[in-house]
Amino acid sequence: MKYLLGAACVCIFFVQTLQAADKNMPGISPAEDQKSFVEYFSKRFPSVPFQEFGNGIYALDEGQRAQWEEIEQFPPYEFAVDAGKALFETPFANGKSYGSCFENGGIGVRQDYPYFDSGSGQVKTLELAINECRENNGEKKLKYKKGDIAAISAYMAFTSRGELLNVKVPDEPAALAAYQDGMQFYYEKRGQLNFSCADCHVQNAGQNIRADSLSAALGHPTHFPVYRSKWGELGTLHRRFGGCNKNVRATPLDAQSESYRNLEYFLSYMSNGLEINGPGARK
Amino acid sequence: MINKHKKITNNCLIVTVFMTAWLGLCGSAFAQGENMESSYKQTLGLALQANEKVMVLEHQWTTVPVLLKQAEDAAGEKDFARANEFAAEALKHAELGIEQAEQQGQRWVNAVPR
Repeated sequence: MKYLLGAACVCIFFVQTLQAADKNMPGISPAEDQKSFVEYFSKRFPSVPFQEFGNGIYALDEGQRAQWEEIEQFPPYEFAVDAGKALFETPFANGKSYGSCFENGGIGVRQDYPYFDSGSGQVKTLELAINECRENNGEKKLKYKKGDIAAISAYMAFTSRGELLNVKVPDEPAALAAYQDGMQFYYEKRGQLNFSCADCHVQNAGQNIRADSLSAALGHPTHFPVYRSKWGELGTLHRRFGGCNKNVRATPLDAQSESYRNLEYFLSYMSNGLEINGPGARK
Repeated sequence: MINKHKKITNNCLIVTVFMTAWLGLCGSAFAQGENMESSYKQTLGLALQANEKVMVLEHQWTTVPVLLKQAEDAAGEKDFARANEFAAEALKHAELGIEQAEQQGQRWVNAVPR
């Protein structure tokens, strides 16, 4: 009996130790992950206030910030926001409009996206929701990388400026799995150059890669969709994911593929608490 | 007269030897071409198989489709030696992508800031 009691105590001790170790494993506790993520960047860039991370590389480089501030005096995305507003307010053939598909008529809701939809067991991004809204109202889907969908998304982001990113990972195995999948994608090396997203935007944030400065991962999703001078137009976050993948010679996935949506889910959760400042202007 | 006959016979012999050698060379070149085509097809099959796998793993390198296209183009020009080289390179890159996916499936956690 004594031995049995002793063995049981040892077992309980081991189980508790394993559970504690599990909680420290990345991906097990999103809240812990986010805390470590923010702390990492706060230590790397102690002079940069938390909210400044939403400004990407312009929070880290004074020279580039000055140029960007001048660009922002006549924002290159302004026309797209106007076009997005017009599209958003134009009724579908059935008389309904985008506003009927979203909470608060779609105004000031950007900060709640992406979210995990327990019904479908999938991550819903804003662009996916826009297209679902169209389909539910008998309209054709829009292409996901640029054009009208970027303009509508830009208008919706514009109406959400100043709201704090508030992405939730519900306590459901499927939601946690989607979050973990996105996290793994972010830290996995890929492509012929063997680079992960994190290699550039976590470990080497603030450094130069050839003539470009690498922005910090913290705050990345707050300013999308974005007008890139390189593109000469507005593009969605998934278009940017594809571009980054191509840069390391990894074949990009389809915009709004499950993996990219999970990636957006993870990345957005990491930036929780930062203000929505989209659409943004970038090089 | 006998000398003339002998000369003709010698000439015939020489021509026959040359013809045989030429036919032999042609035959071997043909056989080599056949071999090259079949080994290209075999390599291409392996490369396509590996490419399918690496795509499922979402770790395809952008070099693979390019190399496969180059292999296809070279085969279209009946240059099976070059086609085989491109297919072999595509296979190598696809296999490296698979290896990368397998390794990173374990190692990504080490890169997470804690």
